Amino acid sequence: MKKSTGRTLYVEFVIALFIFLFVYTGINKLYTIQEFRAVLSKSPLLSFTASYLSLILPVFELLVSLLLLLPHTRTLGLFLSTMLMALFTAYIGYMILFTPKLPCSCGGILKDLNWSQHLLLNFALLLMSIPAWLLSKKDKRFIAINRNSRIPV
Amino acid sequence: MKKYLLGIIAVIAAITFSSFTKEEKKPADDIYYFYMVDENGVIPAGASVQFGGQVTLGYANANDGCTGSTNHCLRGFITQPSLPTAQSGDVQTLKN
Repeated sequence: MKKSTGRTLYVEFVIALFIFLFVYTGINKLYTIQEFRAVLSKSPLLSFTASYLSLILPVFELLVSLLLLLPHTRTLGLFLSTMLMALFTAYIGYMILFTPKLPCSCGGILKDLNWSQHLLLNFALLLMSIPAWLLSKKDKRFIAINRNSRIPV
Repeated sequence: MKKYLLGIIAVIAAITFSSFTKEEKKPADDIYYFYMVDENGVIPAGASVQFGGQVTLGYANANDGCTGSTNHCLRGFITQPSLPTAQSGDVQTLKN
């Protein structure tokens, strides 16, 4: 298997994984929005913005999924996915350090994980998303160079 | 169309998976104010809230430090009650 095919497969796999993750958690958060809002309102960091965030966050997750789905916006989608995972990981780190007694405001079955398991999962996803984003950026540049070379003199 | 295939499969899988995820209301997901009860099962006047504020039932069970009998040890309330109270509260941890 060629190196570039392997890279493309890796990027495709990460994109599919994030689409699945964001659509799944986004739908679950919207489906249980009252409960999600109630849990956010108990968070020391996010309580002031719970009513807005409980709607904005799942909608943003679905929007990122759409960006990942469309071939022309995949690099942007991967960048936003990486940023989201970094934010989620930082938030979980804060919760573990300062308020481990509070429940998680995650969507679907992720709610059944404890804080440490959730941190581990998020960290693994973050580590997967960074190279996928960098590879996606690299592929975009490669295509651009090839296109330029085809411009008639 | 091939470009979209994996993504569309992921979307369909996510929607299918979320429609089969049952949202059960678990007591452990709620958070309560816990108070220690005395030997008569009454929360004494001036008793202070345990754990410094609201915690889940699961956390209270794991950290109440109560052993030895099947009597109630801590009682949890969704809202802070006026003390003293012999009310059973919203949830309890047991001494067993």
